[in-house]
Amino acid sequence: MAEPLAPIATLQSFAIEIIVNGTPWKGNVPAEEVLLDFLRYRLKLTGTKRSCESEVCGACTVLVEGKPISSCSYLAFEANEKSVTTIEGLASGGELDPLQEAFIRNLGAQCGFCTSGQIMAAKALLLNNPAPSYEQISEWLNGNICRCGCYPAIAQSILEAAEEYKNRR
Amino acid sequence: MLQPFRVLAPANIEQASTELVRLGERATIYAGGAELILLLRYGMVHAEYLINIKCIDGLSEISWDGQTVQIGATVTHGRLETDPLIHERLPLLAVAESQIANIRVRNQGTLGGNLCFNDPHSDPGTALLLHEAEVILASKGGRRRIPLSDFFSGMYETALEPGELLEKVFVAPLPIEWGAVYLRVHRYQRPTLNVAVAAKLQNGTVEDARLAVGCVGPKPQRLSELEAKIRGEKLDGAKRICADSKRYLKDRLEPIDDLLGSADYKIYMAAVLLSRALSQAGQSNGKG
Amino acid sequence: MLGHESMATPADTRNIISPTAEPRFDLRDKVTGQTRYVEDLPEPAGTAYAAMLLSPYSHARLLSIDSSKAEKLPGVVAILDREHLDGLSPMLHTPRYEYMVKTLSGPLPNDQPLVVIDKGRFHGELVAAVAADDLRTAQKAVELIDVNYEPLEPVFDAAAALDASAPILHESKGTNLLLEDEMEWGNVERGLREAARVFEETYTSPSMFHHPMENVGGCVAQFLNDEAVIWGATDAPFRDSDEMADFFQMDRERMRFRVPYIGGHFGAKNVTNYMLAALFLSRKSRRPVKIVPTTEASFRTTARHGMIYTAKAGVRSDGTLTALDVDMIIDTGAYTTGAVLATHNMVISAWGCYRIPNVRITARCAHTNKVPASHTRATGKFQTTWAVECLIDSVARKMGMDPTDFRKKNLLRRGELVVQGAPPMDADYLEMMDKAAAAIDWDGHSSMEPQGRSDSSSPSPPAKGRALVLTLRNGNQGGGRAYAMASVDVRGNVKIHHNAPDPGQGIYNLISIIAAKTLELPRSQIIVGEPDTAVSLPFSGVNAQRTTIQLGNAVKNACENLKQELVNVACEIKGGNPSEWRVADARLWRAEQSFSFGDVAASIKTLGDNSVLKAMGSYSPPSGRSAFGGLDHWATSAAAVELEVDVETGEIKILQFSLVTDAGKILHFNSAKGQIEGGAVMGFGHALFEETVYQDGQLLNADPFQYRLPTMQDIPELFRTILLENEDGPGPFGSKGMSQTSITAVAPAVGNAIYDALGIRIRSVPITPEKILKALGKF
Repeated sequence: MAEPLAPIATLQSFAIEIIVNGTPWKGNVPAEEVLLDFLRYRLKLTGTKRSCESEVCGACTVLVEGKPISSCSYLAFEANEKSVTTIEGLASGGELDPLQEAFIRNLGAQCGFCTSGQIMAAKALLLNNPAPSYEQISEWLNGNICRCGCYPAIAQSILEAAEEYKNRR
Repeated sequence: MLQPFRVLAPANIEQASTELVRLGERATIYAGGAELILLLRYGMVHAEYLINIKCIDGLSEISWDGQTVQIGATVTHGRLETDPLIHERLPLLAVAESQIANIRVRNQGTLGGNLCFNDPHSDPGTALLLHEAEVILASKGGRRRIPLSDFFSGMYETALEPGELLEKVFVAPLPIEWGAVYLRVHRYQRPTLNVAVAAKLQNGTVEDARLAVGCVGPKPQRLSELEAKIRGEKLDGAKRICADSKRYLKDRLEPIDDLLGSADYKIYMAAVLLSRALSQAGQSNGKG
Repeated sequence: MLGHESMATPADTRNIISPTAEPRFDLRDKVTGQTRYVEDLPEPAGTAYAAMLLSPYSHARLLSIDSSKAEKLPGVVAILDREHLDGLSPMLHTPRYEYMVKTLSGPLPNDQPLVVIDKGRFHGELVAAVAADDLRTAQKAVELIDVNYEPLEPVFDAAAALDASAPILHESKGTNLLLEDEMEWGNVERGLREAARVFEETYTSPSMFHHPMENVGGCVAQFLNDEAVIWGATDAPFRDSDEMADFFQMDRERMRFRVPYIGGHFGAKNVTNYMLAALFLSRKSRRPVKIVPTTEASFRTTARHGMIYTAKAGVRSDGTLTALDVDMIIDTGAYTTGAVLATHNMVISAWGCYRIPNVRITARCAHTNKVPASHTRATGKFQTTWAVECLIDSVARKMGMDPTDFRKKNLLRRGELVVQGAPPMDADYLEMMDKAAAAIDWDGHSSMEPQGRSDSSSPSPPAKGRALVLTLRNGNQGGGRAYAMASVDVRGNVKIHHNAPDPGQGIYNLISIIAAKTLELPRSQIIVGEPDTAVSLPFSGVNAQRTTIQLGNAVKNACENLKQELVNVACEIKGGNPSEWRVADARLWRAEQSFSFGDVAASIKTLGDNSVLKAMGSYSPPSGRSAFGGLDHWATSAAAVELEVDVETGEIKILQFSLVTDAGKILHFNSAKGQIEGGAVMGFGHALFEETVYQDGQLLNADPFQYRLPTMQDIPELFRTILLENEDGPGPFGSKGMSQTSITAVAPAVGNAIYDALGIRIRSVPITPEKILKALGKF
């Protein structure tokens, strides 16, 4: 496959080590490569999506050190020695995360394009606040746009997942 | 797709400043990148060199020296939103910071980046103006300390001289008995307009007040003339004066019609929010 | 629960087609990031990337274009612009819906070129495209193209465009009036004379953008051995592959369209100039060509039509409507594209769901220098429902009547004639209205005195308002014969082959449910194929609420035919005649003998272990090349909203929302609920926030930064969806089309509730705080 970023034109590369979904990756990345392209083209993790590329829509949300970031506008080399979690890293050994199960149950996704971002943002929320109210959920997720309009189902899924996390503790 | 660039990682202000001078228009300061990456992507800024200041000691600290809170330029909005020191000493700033854009932008964007970009439609500047914040501008030649109001020289313009970078922001808390409120009109990613109001009430009278309005016009403004008018008024009277101050606001703020709203709407809402904020500040009197 | 409800009437004991607990099978991949959309597909070896040059003007002559520097850039493999067409005729085919408009005697001329030839007519029109080894080189090459424009005066207002002094977009047409349409019955002049009072009102709706999360126009195109295959998003692969083949003057069977999962559609995705450009560049360079459009480019591919609706309504003193005279001006943007469909849709929906003996609808569709508008969820119906339901409310109020009572008096009852050539009303609005109101703890009646305004100096509580609205839309329309194929293999797994893409409604899930139910097989044994026009199973497209009925019935038919085929083979191999065999519990039975489907398939033995039994199925909607041709049922709903308005700031807070729709039969509850809720969310966006803004010669807000989309914070927590099941629809198991019954309800509900709260009538969407404050006289 043609490299979308022509290495010849690159002025500077960084040698980095990133932990992506628990697995270390070592290699060189051009300075100007954004995390989204790094994940999609270098690691072939296509679950994180490209949409607005201006930090508004949330389709590209991944977690860096547990915090949600717009991967479309975050330089890949900045993740050096940091842990990055994408949608592909949420399930552990074939077992889905309670968020994923709740989304399935409640149809928290229709076309599915925003879903990775919604779930990663929700994951960060529940790490930050294990028992959010509907209002707190909608405030935290106000930067994750769903054009299919699954918001009621997404909110319901997060409430249920929060309950499930609580039961498991 | 971003055009290729090099990233420099100076260890201190002097090195950063030297590079800025040496490279001139070919370089730009890079902290969080929340704004810069977008500008690079849309071709509004061309930079061959990004000067990464995140590695410089002291730029990412929040500290208290007994009188002022010192915030380093590369402190993120997310940190300011949740930091206990900010909540204790500058709760108004914490509120303004918590409303910026969305959670991702707050995790990545920095206060320094925000102030230096000086987008008129912005949250923190108005709150900081209310606090009469000052900024430290540093270069290899030394440091200077100027009021934030002077730092904001125009729309997307600051008082930074070539070779200078914003190092810290000094913010003095409001006096204890003052109530402070931050309100805004918010429809798009950036606020349509915002007001920051602090007031000290005694027996229902406005003993003293500070009023700031942002996003209407090229930069946020302290409304010292209006403050003078309401000093000594009963709260109801003060609110009415604010609500009736449209002509004054229009002259002071120079509103324009844009996608976010018409000039008339912004002036009307500025008056409404000032009045409301004053009311709320009066209620939260003494709670800071 | 958050306040969601479903009600199945007459009784919950009815046959449940698919338990709610049975999830949609595509969800697992969607929540784990495994689902593949166009950009995610593995790229063929040698893929080149294309970048595009879009016109920066809304109206400009293209004086010259010189791509020689771009061509010479190392890494560039092909160029497309007006100088590099290689003899290709550049005109796109105007969509063929002309039979829907009686004033048209033939197809409208093709007026949109692939790339700008003489004039650019909208901001963002494709001027050139460059394919290169990598995207950065392609973008650099685009920057090297030398273009000279002569800017011309643009016109952005459809009414102004019809004025004699307006700049003309298409000189060959000599006018910006593209087409006219009309419909009438009775005698509207007499009807207005018979009225006690006549009211004249105007309502408007601006251009908007669908904004699917996956940008419009992305594709991978590859020419190989004089055949083309294109991976892209569309709702109608057959329609589009035919169009692409015709454009390249190729045999239609040599154009193969493969459609992966689609990241949102809403009418936006069909053949775009970008796809044709990718095909062109691929053919020229002999390399696969991939296009990944940006959001800004996506905004410039399509739009929702703008509308100005002016009506005269005549009413007797007892509140009976006697006449309605509607004149509409429709803004279709720079090219014909969806003009015919939108105009037709608006004409046939302009009187709502009311009994009006004398009606005249006239519509004029005009060109403006805006992005050409086309299909958009509830094409034309969103706009007319906004107008009609506000008009009805306004007329009622002016007559001193409660709007709900006024509606009850005039609405069409089950069995009543709606209009000649269309089915009679097949739903119960009275029941839906009562349920919608009850769901927000209301009896549907309004105080005739709005809560009143207050001056800004006194503290005032928010003003509360409520409203109840009705919607009517044709249930599904036209499209010709739909085909599906079912095959069973030796393991007993049944695969359904079809050409209905899944943009998110759960089409594949629906197919799986219908197949499983018809064949009495567990869902785990049903495999649903992905659309591929090489498997020649025409279907007119996943739009116009037609899929459940048309494709659903085709799938059902295919499965029934498969059962028959299994019986036939069982007879051949095991003996007996067909009447002795029956199919039950996933087996074939004759007396005491039974065989699994897999056994029967294996018994053919002609293909060894790969034996497969197949059967085709099809379905034709009712025929008729008329305004209501093909219409076989109505999609109806009632919605209620409660909101509050801050009288000082004009800010609106939606407190409760309910929607009741007559679904016929629910095939998958969460999917149905999801469609209703999702449509309502988009409806809130249209009602409160959305419009594409054209000013100073430019499209100003073609990005989500400035085009306001609804977020979770804009949706009320109390959101009730009620789905009625009378099992009387033409779709499988009695289902009806209902995916567009919610988007149309929101805007008029909000507008009327604001009147209820404040006594002010907002006549244009989006309903903004600024408009409210202006109407209140605040500034």
